[in-house]
Amino acid sequence: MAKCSVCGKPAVYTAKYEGKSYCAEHFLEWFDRRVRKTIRKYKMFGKKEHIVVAVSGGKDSLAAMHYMKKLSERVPGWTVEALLIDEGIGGYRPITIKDFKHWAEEWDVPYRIVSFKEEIGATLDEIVKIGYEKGLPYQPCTYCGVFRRYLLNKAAREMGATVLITGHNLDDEIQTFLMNIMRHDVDRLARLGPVTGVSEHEGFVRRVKIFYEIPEKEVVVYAMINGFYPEFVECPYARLGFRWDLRHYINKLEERYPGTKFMIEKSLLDIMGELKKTRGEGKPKKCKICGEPATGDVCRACELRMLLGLMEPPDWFDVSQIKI
Amino acid sequence: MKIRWRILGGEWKEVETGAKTMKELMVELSLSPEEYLPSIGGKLVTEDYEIREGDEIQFVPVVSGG
Repeated sequence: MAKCSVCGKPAVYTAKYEGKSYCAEHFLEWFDRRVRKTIRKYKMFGKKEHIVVAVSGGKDSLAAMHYMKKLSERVPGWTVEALLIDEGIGGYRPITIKDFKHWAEEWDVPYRIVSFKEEIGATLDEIVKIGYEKGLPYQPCTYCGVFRRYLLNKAAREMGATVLITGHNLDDEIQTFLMNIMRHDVDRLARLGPVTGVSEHEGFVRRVKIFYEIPEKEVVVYAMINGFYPEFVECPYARLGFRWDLRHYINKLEERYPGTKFMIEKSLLDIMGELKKTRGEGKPKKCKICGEPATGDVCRACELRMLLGLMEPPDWFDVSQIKI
Repeated sequence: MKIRWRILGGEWKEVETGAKTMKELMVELSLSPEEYLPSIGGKLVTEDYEIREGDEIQFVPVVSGG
């Protein structure tokens, strides 16, 4: 059995990309050191922050909530709250909400739950059905992603957040990067990165990814060691998405060529640095319908709501203009 | 030798294996070490763990579905 490279005790994890193994204690130390380095490197927080953690009840966001709660106890100017978006996915979300509430109470983190049903007008399950009936060309993950981002920003702002944390890890980031490349969506590439939403728009809450340089596998190890790895449940729509296939290809490459994931992320950061000069986030506008940040005159969430018939278009707006 | 295994949350299965290490066992079971972490008695073990008769192994899925 592999020995911890620090103390020689039996290891629980081997990082093949650096050829080192760690026992539980030294894994946590190593994990913490790297997250703190990421936080410093990308200047994620100031001395005074009201931090809202976007939580789903899955292991990544639970880990982010656990980590931030512990870190904030050492910083007097920080307060931490959690925010969960209930999309309304039968057989899935109710289970993760239960996990989320359990741990939020256990770790004494105040929270707010915001639902698609109340804010958007329908659950994701209903939206998927309507979209199908109307012949809209979107996958469930498209509706879910647009409405979730929309509500996260809106609710975090209403909660007085100075910064919004998501549980995105290294794997998530490079999957999104490669997906955008494969779909030739270069503008979206410029909006990736460890810190986003830094614009002059008053309605935008800055977003940070504290696990930006942590592989997904190591977030699982963190959750296991800390005893909160949640019951495994899978979103019924997950396998329909492009991401599902892509992640397995990347994992195969990482298995054969350890370190590939880090190299992809480094390339992403270099490319993004160049792209931001020419295609940066730009100055976002205010959606003329709901007032939330938008890249055009009307935000994507309002466009989708109109396409789905969940919102009446205003007189001045022609629904047929929406780019499908 | 005989061992029992399951993917966390799934059904336990008993198999006869010739695998000497966790790495060999995972190849036998077609489980990618990038996507599953092996654990015994709630504790994670590394891929060079030597399999013993009667081991009860749970594989923790890395990929969260959603």
